Amino acid sequence: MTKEAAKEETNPRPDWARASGSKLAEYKSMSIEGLTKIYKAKCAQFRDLNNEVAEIRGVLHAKQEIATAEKTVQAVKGKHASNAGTGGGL
Amino acid sequence: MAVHSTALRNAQANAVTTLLDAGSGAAFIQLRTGTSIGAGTLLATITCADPSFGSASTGVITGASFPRSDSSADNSGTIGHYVVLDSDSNTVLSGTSVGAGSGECNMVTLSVTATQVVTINSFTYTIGAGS
Repeated sequence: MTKEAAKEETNPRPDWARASGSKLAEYKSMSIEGLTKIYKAKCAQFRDLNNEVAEIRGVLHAKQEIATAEKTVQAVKGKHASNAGTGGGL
Repeated sequence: MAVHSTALRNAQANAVTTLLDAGSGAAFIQLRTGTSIGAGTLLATITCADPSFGSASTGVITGASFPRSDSSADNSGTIGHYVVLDSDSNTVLSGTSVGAGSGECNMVTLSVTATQVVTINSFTYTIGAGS
C-alpha cells in the first residue's frame, strides 16, 4: 500500500479535495479492509450530500419565487406611481 | 413518455446500491407475506453482501454473492413481497416481483416454513429505459 493510500484509509479526503486525476490506481493498491472503510464512508457521504443538495434546492427555489414575486410587486408599484403621476396632471 | 439515457439508468441504479450500503453494516432483505409493502408477516431476513449489488450495466444491478439464505425462517407463509433496507433499517427498495425461479427476487420457493432455510437464488433490479 502506498503512503497516500494508507493515509486515505484512516482519513478519507472529501470529494472537493479530489480535483485532479483518477484515484483508481491507489484504490487498486489498497487492502479490502481499507477499501471497505472508504466505500462505506463514501456511500454515507453520497446519501448525506444528496439530502443536502435537495435541501439547498428547496431553499433556492423558495428564494427565487420570493424574488420573482417582489419584482412583480415592484413593477406593479412602479406602474401605479407612473399612472398616479399622469393622473395628477389632468 | 420520458426516455432514460443509459447513463441516467446506471446512475439511478447505482444510487440504489449506494443508499443500501450507506449504513455502517450490510443491507438486508425482508421477505413478507401479502402485497402491502412493509406490512404482512415477516417470514425471513437475508443479509446482503457488502457491497450489496454490483455496478450497474444498462440500468440493471445484480445482487452480489447470491444465492443467499436465512438459516431459520421466522414464520410460515407465502412470500408476497420484499423490502430491502440499509443496515440502519431505512427502507430503500421494495417490490412485489417475487417468484420461484423468476422475478426481481428470485426464490427457490415462495412457500416458507418456520425454522426452515429460506434461499434467494438471485436478485436483480432494473431501471427501465422509459417511465
